[in-house]
Amino acid sequence: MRTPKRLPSQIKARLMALTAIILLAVSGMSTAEDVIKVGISTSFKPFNYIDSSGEIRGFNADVVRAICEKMQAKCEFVALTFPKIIPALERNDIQIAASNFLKTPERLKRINFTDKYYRSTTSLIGPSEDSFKDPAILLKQSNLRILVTHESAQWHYLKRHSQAEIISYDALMEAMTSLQQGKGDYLLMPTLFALNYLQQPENSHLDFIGLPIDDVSLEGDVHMGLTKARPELQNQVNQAIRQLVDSGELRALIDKYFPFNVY
Amino acid sequence: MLNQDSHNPHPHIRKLLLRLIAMLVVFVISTLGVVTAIHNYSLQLIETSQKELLPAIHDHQRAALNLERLERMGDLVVYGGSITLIRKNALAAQVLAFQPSFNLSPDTQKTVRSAFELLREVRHTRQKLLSSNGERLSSIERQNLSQLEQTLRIRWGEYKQELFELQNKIISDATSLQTANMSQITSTNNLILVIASGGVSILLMLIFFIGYNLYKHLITPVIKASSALTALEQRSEHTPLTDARYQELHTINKAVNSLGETLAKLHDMATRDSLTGCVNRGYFLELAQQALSNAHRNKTAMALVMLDVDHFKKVNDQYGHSVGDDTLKLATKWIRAQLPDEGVIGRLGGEEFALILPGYDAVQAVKLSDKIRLMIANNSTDSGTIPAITVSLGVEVVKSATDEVDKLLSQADKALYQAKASGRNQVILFRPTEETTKPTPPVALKPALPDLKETAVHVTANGIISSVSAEDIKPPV
Repeated sequence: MRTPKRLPSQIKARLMALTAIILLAVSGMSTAEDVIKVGISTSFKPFNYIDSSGEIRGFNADVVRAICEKMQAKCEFVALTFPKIIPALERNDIQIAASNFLKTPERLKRINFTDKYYRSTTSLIGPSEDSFKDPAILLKQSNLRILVTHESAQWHYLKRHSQAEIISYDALMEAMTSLQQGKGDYLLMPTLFALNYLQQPENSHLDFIGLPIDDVSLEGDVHMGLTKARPELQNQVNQAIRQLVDSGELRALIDKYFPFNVY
Repeated sequence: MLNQDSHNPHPHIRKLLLRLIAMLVVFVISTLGVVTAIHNYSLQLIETSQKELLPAIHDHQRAALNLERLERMGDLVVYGGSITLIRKNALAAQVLAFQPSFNLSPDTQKTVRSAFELLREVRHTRQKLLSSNGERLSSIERQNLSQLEQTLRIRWGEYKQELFELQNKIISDATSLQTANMSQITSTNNLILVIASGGVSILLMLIFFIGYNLYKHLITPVIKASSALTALEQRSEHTPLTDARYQELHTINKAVNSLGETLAKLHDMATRDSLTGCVNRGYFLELAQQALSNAHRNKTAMALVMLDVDHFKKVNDQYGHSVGDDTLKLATKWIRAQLPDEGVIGRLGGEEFALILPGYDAVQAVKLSDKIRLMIANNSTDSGTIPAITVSLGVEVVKSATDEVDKLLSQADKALYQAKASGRNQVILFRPTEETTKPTPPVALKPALPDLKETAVHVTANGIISSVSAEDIKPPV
């Protein structure tokens, strides 16, 4: 076959360079659009933690992976401590946060929420000999030190309602260690996380203190956080959650981590 | 003008059609609107059931399953052999008892939480019994604790029953939620069906109504106008068309009516003599032909009479044409008064008239003719406006099926001529013998001049009407 008249080599080189630039730009754009960054705290086994191979595991991680699969989206985990998660959502550094959010009016101003993916309450934990005490009375005592995760709903609740000294940590695990070390008297945390912790044989000296705290800001539906910069994500993620609920996949994940259905 | 327009009682057909179409359109749109609205409502119900009711049903199912788990955990707390097992399950039962998924109803919450209270007591009792410290308990304490354990186990059995019933209730609640939802959707669908079928029946009624209106205001008037036109064309009788509701048909009816009147007038003008109102010569011949055909067909008698006013030229000359005209008019009027219903009088020209007398034989015709002769003589004498006149009449009757109008008329004319020749003021019946033989002076009915005070003596025509008695032809006095 005869080759057509050749282009001058200079032009040819320029064309190739241009093609390369366009290809790079397009591929760069597509990766920037397609990958959803998922903020997650990694400090609390077995719900969100990094395993020995460096992979993020746990209930929240599993649920987010299932959601991304349903959305046919590429997701990438970004490990963050809890207080940094909402600011990261606000900056659109991450798009989804699998961080056990209770919906509060303050948070609604800053981020969007998905539908619930499970339900929980809040409990005070401490020495087992205090297990029959009333947490409402304990929180009123100014001589007590209460441990809590910084910026959590529990932390906001304590700031509003408790006279006790509040000691807050960026990660829940740090607060637990502090409780073990006697740096605080009690720890206020999500009941479901506490259950797993208390059920460990080595923690038999600890127990729930009284009953879960009866306050709307501390119990009910738990959501994932979404950046307001991508409003279309809300519907997509909600649809994915609905599919997981309807197909029973979410229940399977719940059964893996909890002794009953927490949805 | 404006006022007149707005009071125009005849709207256009377009208006009728527009109104009917508008009715149809409005109805169809409103029916569709209602059905669509209900359909949307039904869709909304389905959506609500999918978005709210279905999750609620699932919540109930999850709560029922969690109750079962609570029972299992409770059993392990109540009967479990190791402290670790008891503690683990008691903690789980505590968390579960306060899980928001039991916020279905205050009753559920209460039952579950009091079950938990019992389990907490069981946990502490059994932990004391089973713990390493337990070995240091006195036998009485141990016995008391064992007794308490037994009591608590019995109570747990009761609670389990209660939880079981609660579970059943939650499941039946879920079922009834589903049933209520289904029945709501079903009843909405039924409503759609009822409204749609109602709409269809009303639509049928509407179509019937539209058809009725079109039939009444459009088709019926058109049919009437068309049959009226057919009647006009065939020159048969028809009643004038009544007023129609819509302008176009009103115009048609008016046109048909006035066409009918015009045709009648034209017919009159073509067939009648304008002075006397008698049919003219042409039409008289036509009518005579018809009457003769009828007579032949039905084999009935029929007479033709020729009538001429005696010395009419003198009347004209002496009194002027207007008196002459009046004379003719009055004479016609008097003759008419004597004619039977089916009899016809025609003016053949000048002062010459002819009569058609269907059903009359010779005797009847002569009798009637003489009656007419006498009447005219008497009435004209009595009348103050015209001079006294007399008339002569020639009569001919149908004798055979081959008789023709021309022949009959000319024979009647011959008889008239004879009456004239014999001195006028008399009736002569045509006799066929006279055609061949020279007529003897015809038998004249003696002139009955009313001014003669003597009683007129009527002589019958030779032998022909001998049956007519003098009495019958006696002139009125």
